[in-house]
Amino acid sequence: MRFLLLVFFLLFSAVSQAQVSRAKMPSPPPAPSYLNVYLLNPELRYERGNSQELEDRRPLNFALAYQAHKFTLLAEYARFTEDTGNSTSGIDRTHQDLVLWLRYHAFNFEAGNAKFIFYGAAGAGGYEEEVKTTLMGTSRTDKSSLQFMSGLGAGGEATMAVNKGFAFLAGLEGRALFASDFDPNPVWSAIVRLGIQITL
Amino acid sequence: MKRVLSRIIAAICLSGALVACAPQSDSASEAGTVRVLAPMSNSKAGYSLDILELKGIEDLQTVSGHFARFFLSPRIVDNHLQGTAPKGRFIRNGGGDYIPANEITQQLVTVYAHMQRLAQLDEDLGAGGVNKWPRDIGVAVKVKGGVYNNAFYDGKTDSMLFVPYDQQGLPIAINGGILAHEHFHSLFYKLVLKESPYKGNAHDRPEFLNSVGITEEKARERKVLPIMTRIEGEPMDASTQYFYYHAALSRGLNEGLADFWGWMYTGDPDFIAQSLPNERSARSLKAADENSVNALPSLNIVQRALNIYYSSGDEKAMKQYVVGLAYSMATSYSRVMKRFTDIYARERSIDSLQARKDVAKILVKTLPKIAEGFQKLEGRYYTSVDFMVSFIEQLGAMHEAECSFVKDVLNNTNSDLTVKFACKKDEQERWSVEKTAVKAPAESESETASSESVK
Repeated sequence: MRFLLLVFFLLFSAVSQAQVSRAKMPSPPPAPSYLNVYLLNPELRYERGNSQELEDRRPLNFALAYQAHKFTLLAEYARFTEDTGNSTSGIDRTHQDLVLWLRYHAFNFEAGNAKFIFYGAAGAGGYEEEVKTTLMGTSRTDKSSLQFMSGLGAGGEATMAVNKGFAFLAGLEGRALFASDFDPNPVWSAIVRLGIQITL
Repeated sequence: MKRVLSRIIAAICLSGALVACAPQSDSASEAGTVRVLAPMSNSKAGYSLDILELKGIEDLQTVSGHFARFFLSPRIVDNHLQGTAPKGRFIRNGGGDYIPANEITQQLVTVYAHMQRLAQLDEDLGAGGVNKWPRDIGVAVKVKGGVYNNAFYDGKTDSMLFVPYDQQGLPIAINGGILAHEHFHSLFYKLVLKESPYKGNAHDRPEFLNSVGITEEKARERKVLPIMTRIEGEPMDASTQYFYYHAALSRGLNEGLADFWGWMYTGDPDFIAQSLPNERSARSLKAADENSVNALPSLNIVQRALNIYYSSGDEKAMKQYVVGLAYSMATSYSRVMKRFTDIYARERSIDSLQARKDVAKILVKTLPKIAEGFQKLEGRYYTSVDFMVSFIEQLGAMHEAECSFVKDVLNNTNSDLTVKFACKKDEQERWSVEKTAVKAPAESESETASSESVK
């Protein structure tokens, strides 16, 4: 079943790409490209916690992106911890992931110095988790191997140009993060991105 | 617009393909024998983090298998636990071992591991077949009014129930001694209480909090007992006293032997205090003066205590007083059994673990005799002496120090002044306890010639 699903998705994506290729028009004049640095990204993820309810996680999140034409390639690092137990018996889990996102800018608007883009995104990357187990003052640390994860997202971003080479960025994105050990799978996430844009 | 849609579809499909490629969750697919990290008690080193094998696992994500199945905040329907299974979270380390990644997962794994050990222990001690496996276990159990830091065994559902733990000690669900304590209740329920009219007091569903178990609240109840000496009401009638006496005795015996079981399993006389430090003085199996451990709760003392509580005039609180009294009695039973075991180990030059197992084996044989005693009362009171006599009948030949201790316990416990116990040696140097009829002390201190061996 999983194999059939895989074949179906690969065929479908190939056909879609083929249609895009056929519809290609002569290239427009070269558009400027940008380096986006997202310094402050408050994120909320929901996963099943120790209470067995969906609990929110607030990862530390940094991202760096290259934007050109209608695409943005964004590398995102996120890290959060979950501490459970008490001073006698405790478990601290640290999750960190690195995901490479490809955004397609579906809609663009401009108004004065402000630019708005709305995009869909797909990402793939890896994550690892580290667990520190403490019992009566002694502890040990175990680490998982790198695990595959992927994601789908959609969002909007606004740019306010200060001058030709520099702008401030603000965006909001919702996404679903997939991995075999995520619970639930997908993990839902919302992120606000604040940063700067440098024209290359 | 068409191009845009095509690209979005392509991106979605590609991501879907990536998800489809992702391997299935390791823990969800893991079954059979699984190596996990768990805090386990070791009679020599105390608690330590060990990699151990969980056997008979059917689904590691819910830690269900041959020995246990878990229910999250269960409801009770038709005498069964009903509810969803809690989901564990693991990581797999470089050695291929599964490491619990949060507290509840660690608790599921640890309870399962102890159930696996206790199942083997049941077999070793002659109690195999008494319990059905897998055991039903409720975690994060919600009790009306909010109860924390407790564990219960409920006989009607044949399940072990854990309410949340919010103290800073060893969580109850990973305290091997408390798990063994609760497990013993299941043996006591099936071998002693199931047909007893006094089980209701300990296991009534509406009186959920009175289910036998480890409770901290009981310590507070005990603290108020000594001040309840104000005589206001009428004395108790015979049938009420008879009921309350046996309710207190059966529960005290159940709790005391369960405490012994916890010590037998862990070797830690303060296993309860690991989780409930406030219980240390009341529930420790280690007495400040070991020589003071030489009596069980006597018929007279228990009756007198019940009369005092009853005469206080607060009938509503009577049930609580009985519970408090039972816990006080329990400590006597557990300490006497521990001291006997220590003497047994010394006399026979065996290590403590072997001695604990030997005595536990004798206790397993004694439990059906206690049930027989309860069933054949016909108006008579079942006493701690009856229990001790049943125990030494199953024990067989004793060594001199063992016999001397048992004889002292029997004489100090016995409320019948016409009977005394003495040690007797046979030709093969084997010791046994002999019951001797004596005249009333006021008339004569000399013993009569009539005697009857209890072994």
